[in-house]
Amino acid sequence: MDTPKTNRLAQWATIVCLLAVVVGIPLTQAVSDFRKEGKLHLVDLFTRFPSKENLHGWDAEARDRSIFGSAIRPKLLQMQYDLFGNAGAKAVVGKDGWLFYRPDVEFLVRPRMDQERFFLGSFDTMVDGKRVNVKSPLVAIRDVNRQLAARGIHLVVIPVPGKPTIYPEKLSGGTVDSSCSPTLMLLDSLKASGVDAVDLVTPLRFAKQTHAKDLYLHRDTHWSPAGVAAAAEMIAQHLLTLAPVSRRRDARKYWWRDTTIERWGDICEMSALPKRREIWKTESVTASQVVDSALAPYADSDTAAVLWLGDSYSRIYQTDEPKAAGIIAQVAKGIGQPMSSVVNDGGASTVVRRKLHQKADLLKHAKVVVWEFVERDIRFGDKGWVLEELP
Amino acid sequence: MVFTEEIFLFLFLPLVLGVYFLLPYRKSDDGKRSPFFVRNLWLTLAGYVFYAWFEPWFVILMMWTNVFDYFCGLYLGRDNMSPGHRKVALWMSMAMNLGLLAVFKYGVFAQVNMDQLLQTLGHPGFEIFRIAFPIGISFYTFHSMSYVIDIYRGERPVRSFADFSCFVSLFPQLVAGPILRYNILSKQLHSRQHETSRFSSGVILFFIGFAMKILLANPVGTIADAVFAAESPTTLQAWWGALAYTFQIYFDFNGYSVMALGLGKMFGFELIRNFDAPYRSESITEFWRRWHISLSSWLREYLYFPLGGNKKGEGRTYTNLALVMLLGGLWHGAQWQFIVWGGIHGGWLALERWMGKRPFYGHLPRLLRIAVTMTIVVIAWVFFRAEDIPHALSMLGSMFGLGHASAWSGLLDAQIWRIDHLMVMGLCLVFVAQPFQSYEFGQKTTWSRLAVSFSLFLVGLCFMYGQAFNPFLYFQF
Repeated sequence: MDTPKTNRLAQWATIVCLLAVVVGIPLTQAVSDFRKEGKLHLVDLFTRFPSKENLHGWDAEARDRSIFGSAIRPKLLQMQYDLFGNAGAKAVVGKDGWLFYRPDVEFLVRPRMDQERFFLGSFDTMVDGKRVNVKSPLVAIRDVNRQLAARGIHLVVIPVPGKPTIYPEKLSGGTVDSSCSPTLMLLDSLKASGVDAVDLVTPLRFAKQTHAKDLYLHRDTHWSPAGVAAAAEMIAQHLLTLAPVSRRRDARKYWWRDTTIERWGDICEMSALPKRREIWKTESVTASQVVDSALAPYADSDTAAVLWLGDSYSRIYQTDEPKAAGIIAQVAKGIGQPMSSVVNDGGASTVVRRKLHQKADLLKHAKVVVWEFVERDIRFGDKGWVLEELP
Repeated sequence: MVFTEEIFLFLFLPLVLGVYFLLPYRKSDDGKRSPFFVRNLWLTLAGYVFYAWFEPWFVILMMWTNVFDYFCGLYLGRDNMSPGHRKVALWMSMAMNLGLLAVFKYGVFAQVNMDQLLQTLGHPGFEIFRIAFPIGISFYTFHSMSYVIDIYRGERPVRSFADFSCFVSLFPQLVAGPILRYNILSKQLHSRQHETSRFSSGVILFFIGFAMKILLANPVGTIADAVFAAESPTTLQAWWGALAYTFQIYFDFNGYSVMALGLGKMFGFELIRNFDAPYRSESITEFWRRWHISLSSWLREYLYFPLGGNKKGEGRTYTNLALVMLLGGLWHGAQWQFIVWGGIHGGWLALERWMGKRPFYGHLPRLLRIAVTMTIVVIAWVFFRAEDIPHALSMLGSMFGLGHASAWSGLLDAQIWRIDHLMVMGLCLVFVAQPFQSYEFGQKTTWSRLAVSFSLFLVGLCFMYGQAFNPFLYFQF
């Protein structure tokens, strides 16, 4: 029953509840900080110039150090998965144990490059007296093509389709018309601008019908060895149509050596679920390692005629286990010559070109540059599609 | 800084509260400086730090507004001022405040439209000069303007800069309201009560508002974001997304307002209620009596009445209503879709006024009247949320089966039709439909209300740790 006295007690209890949280939590955190480091994190706030970056940086550090946050967050994520099948901000749960990387899905669902909404929030810039929108990958790719052509180097652009483009049925409850692909649209635009590009969407879709093995790992963002093989065949065929590549065909012979690896999916890892190792198992795949006549694994050559720029699709099986079994090695085997490469995880739109400055010599020997990037980078490329001078 | 992040909850709030209650105040008012001068000064300082956390240099802009309007107020409040001089002082203040809004809020909008016009006329156009948008500028500018207008209308100006600055930069209402008229807060700057009943009531409101934002607004926001970002959703997806946004904006903004009210009470202030079960409205006229009450009363007081209100004939009344709503739309953002949103509401208000303050569906049963009103509101929200007008029209096309769903829209289903989504949307529906609102809930402190609100707050805290940074929607205005 509510009497003035019980109400007054409830009022004080309410205030105590608030204070217990807003004072108790930071005090506990401060004690923990002091025990660990012998100082309070709060002190750092006053030793920095109060710029936005410093304030927000301090704030982010405080969040990362939060003992309550790190105790609660994993349990909460796990609970959301157990109760609702929600695998976190980065993963979308598909059918039959498949997981999808959310940006791969969003790339397909959101407006395509030929629509004004793709460019929303960005403004045109004047480049060489022309209005361009640097949010468009076309602008940067054409610019790179122009710079390379001026040096007598041929550019080949290879957008790699994401998992949902090839396996939409593993995700969609509704119908999907997968014949319409934003990547195919980019390829058409590139070809219309005189940029050489390889379509992997069509051959991978075809390979999906004919291959017994899945072309993508079920719980990883990337392709499987079968997907790599199908793509490598297509790319090698294309490269061999180019004179600088075909001239050196079979300069070196390579062989395959099959090796089975256990692959723990990166999407499982990104879900950050505490029980992820119990929920999802590793996938066992057989990769074909490329070896030379001395049975040494494939190695790049710094004086190669083909320079490969790529992202994690070029890294998987190549510098990851089992090594020398990724797309770079498979294409090198296909064209019978080693290549040089610069690879940056998730940064094929711009970062990889910046990284090339540290390996400028590779470009001096190159006659062909292959630029591989995953299709979602058309929209979500790290740092966007910045116009950069090549080294 | 945002009310629902750790830096606010675990550093700013306890520090500001602790120091505030340690600072002295005078028991009696000598009619000159406020008895709460030192405490007001502390709140002013806290407001500046709170604001600076978004971007330190924005504070300079706010300080400039404060200083300029403070002196304008002093000038206007002098005895024996000629009406001409008073008008000049008023117009100078209006020009400065609206000028700041014009540059910082509408500068890019004006450039984009000019550029497009030039291109249409065959000129190559020009590069857009990007201008940083100072968060909450629309709110504190309106606060400041209301002060000057109220002094012009006869209120006494504050003598102390700290008191005036405290009114403008009072952190609970600084960046997203409620928009206060000076005459509401002027007395409280001088005399206010600090009682356990008021403080605890503020705590309950804060708990509830926090839970609204974290447990309802943010989850439904993910549905709205996914659908509105899609190229072209199906009819069902489009309605689901529009409804999700309808709930998101209410629980987000109402959550913020309720927290602001609660924080105000903790410092002894009674801010004004901003929402009163708006989605239970039976007409658009009623909706605007219940939605963003502080903005509608500000616009009524400082725009609708000065334009003549309903005193200058029927035609003028309709024009005034439409004009006020168009400007209200523009206040929300420098984009055409906000103007259209304002226009839709202004048009309906005028229509209902013409029909004797009744909607044309006034003869329907109550539940249907609410449903029709809600449908109009949902449709209008599409303009408010869409990226531009073609996008809004495309969404509406999808909602009414006139659009072509994109080839990949099937993939959207996996993102928006989850069990937790269905549950939270259901909860939202229940909360907007029932008459007992958070404001009433927080008016009294009882054991049961403490148990409910504190439990929700604790659950909200846990979810806060699991959610990405999620600022309030109204911060962008």
